[in-house]
Amino acid sequence: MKESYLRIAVVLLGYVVLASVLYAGLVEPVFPFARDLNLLVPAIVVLATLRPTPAIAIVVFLAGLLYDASIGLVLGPQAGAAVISWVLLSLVASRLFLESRTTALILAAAAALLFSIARLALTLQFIPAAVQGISSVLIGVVLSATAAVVIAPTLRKLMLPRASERGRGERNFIGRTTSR
Amino acid sequence: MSRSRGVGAFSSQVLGMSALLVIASLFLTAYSARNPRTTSFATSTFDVFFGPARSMITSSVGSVGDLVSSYGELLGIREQYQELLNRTRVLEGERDRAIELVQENIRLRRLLNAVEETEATPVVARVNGYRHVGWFHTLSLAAGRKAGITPQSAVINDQGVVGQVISATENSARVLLLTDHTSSIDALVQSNRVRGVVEGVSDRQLAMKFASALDSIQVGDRIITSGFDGIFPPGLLIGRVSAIESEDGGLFQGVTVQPAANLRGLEEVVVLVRPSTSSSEISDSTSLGTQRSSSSSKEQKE
Repeated sequence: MKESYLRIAVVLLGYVVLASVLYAGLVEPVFPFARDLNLLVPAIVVLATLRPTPAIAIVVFLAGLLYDASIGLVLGPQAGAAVISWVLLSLVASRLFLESRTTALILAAAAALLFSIARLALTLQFIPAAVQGISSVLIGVVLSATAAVVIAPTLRKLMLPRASERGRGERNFIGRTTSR
Repeated sequence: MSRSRGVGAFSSQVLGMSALLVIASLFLTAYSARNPRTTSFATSTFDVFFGPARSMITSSVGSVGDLVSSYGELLGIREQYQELLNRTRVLEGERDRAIELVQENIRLRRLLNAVEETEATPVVARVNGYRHVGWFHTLSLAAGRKAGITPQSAVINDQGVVGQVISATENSARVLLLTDHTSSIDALVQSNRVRGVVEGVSDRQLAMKFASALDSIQVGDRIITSGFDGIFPPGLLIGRVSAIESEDGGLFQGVTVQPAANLRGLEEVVVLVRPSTSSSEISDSTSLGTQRSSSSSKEQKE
């Protein structure tokens, strides 16, 4: 499978920008209960299904950094958490039967949980006041997993528009059947 | 069904790069936590490029929110409008009742003014029924003996004579209107004191009988009660002369009188009860009108 790294990077960064703008303009004012939603998780999930390369790792890092800049609290936690969760998720996803929706949902939830834990770990060290409570984390996990299941297929299609790239026998995501 | 072939196994390059990036993020977090300016710079750079888009979305969301809240207010206004409409209807009803009370007050004051100059005891009674059957013109009152009303009492209103009471029970009374064909009242022409008897002809017409053809009566002359019949006090207005008809060679002239009181719209009347009136006094009276009205009263009772 050949991926166009440039396309992936552009789509990913564009998605991050859109997600942060929408979050600030729509989620916070209209849906305050969804404040713990992390829109970076769907991107991590999609990237975890791709073949891991150093370029992808850098793209993930940059996406996290951009998300940090949009939040405006401190630079670094989202970026580090994104990389950590991407690595762990990639390791797990390579062994999973991803055509199943249930598996995909579990994967998304796992991504959200890993992300939150990693971010907590990074934030706790340097900004104890910004640490969230457990209930807040759990709500964030549920919301982010749900968003991942909804957003990830579209995001993947944008990153890999050609069916051949998404390909036969390759890892797919959320119910996309492949033929041998 | 396909199975994963293990695509995505991490190479050392990937792991190394990931570790490097994690360490970099750690350092970056520590640095920006200590130097907030770094974060501000990044945030402001982000805002420069993407702030307008965010503002546009925020304002759009705000507009939609305003629209929704305006609609909600509109619904609320509609409910308020309905409530105000209902209250207005209630108030209009109360206003109408108040106007009615004022009108009643005026009528009653007029009635009281009308009886000020009589010696009789005025009893105000509400009219609760009319009966115009053929030539018989009567009305019923919502007061009777309990209120002091007795038969053969004069009944008037602020405009003039209405009739006389022909029967009375404890709480009701029946009045023979002056327009009834059996009614007759001893009367005078106010201007020249020409005497006659006013009888009922139709619901809007009376006739003054026994007025001498030699007497000068004009159209418009006021016809008043003489007081000689023992029922009606003297000086009460019966009506006005509306036409005169002279018979060739006749002793009397035909005088048509229009009743002063509007007998159609009566709501309250005043019954003049004379304290000294007794049945024997009435029967001894020599007035033609009284005898005729007494016999007509008996007919009505039957």
